[in-house]
Amino acid sequence: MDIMIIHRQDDVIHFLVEGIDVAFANALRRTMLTRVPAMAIDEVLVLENTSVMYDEILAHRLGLIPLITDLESYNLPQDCDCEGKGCSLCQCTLTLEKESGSEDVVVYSGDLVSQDPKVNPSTGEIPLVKLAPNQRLIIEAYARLGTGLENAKFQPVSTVAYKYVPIVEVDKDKCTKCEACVEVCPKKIFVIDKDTLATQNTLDCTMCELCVQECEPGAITIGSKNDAFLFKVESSGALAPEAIVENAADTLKKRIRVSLDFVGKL
Amino acid sequence: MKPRVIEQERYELKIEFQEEDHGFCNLLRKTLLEEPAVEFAGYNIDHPLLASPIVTVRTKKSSKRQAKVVLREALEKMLARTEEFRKDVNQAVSDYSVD
Ligand SMILES: [Zn+2]
Repeated sequence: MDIMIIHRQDDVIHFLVEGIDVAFANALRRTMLTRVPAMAIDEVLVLENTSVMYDEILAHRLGLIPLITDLESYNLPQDCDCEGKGCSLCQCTLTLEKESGSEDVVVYSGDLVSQDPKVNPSTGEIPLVKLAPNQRLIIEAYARLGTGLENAKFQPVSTVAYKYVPIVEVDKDKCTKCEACVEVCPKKIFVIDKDTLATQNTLDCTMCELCVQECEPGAITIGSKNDAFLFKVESSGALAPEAIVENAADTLKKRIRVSLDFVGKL
Repeated sequence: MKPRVIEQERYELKIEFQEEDHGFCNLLRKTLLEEPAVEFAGYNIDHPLLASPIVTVRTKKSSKRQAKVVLREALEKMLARTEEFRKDVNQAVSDYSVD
């Protein structure tokens, strides 16, 4: 198995894994989506809401705000000593107080004040509701850990996808250097280099095969490897993207161990 | 993950994996099929809303390999591969931050 990180920036990681099959790639993808825990607001106490928005819609919007998650300091409610009733080890309180004066005010996720400085909205720029003059909002919200299995708001990722590694081949004997492929390729894979057709950044190829259609002499073939995958993991901001991958591998390991223990006792 | 035996014979085994999904079961199925002694390996989810797939594995009688042994070996293989992946990811991440 060979893993190479191609690109990592802010909340996104692109990496190449060689020597795995589709089943493993998919198990990993599904684990990242549904089994890696993340924080989200799950209970909301509306003390005052004179805005035009219903309490329920507001609560739903609060639930969808990605929160920076600290997996070290919090337990999943079902694993907590309090048996899921809610305590400081499995719950974090956030409050929101906003009042508009004589002008319209937009309430943003950044207006939430957290009891724990480590648990905060991953961005403060998510608009929640607009207050007209003299409207007020006082809210207490309780965040907890959960998994995507329960509700999509607990997913730490906004995208996890994998694709096959493309192989772009040009038959030099058939190529007439008409440059039709250079024009048509949306990812600019083809370049004319010293009078011959060359390829660049082939990992970007989306396998749309526009070049194959355009190439009149039929010099271009697009294929793919079947034991290598390009992963793209985009975090919602809850966890670092590489932490999500590592945590998913750990979670998958744990599940295999449980079934191995069971099968060993048969 | 709560496994439960549905049917157990020498050459055939049916296990329900409560709370599991396609990710785990398909990986197990594919890994089981790598073993030549396996005659049949598959899983079934009765209803998409019920997360309780049933994995079936049947070995060839001529191979004299017990179903539970083959299943254990497949799970060991899966564990080794996942551990390798975990280790390599860690390595790749630290290599990348050095660059
Ligand atoms: Zn608790």
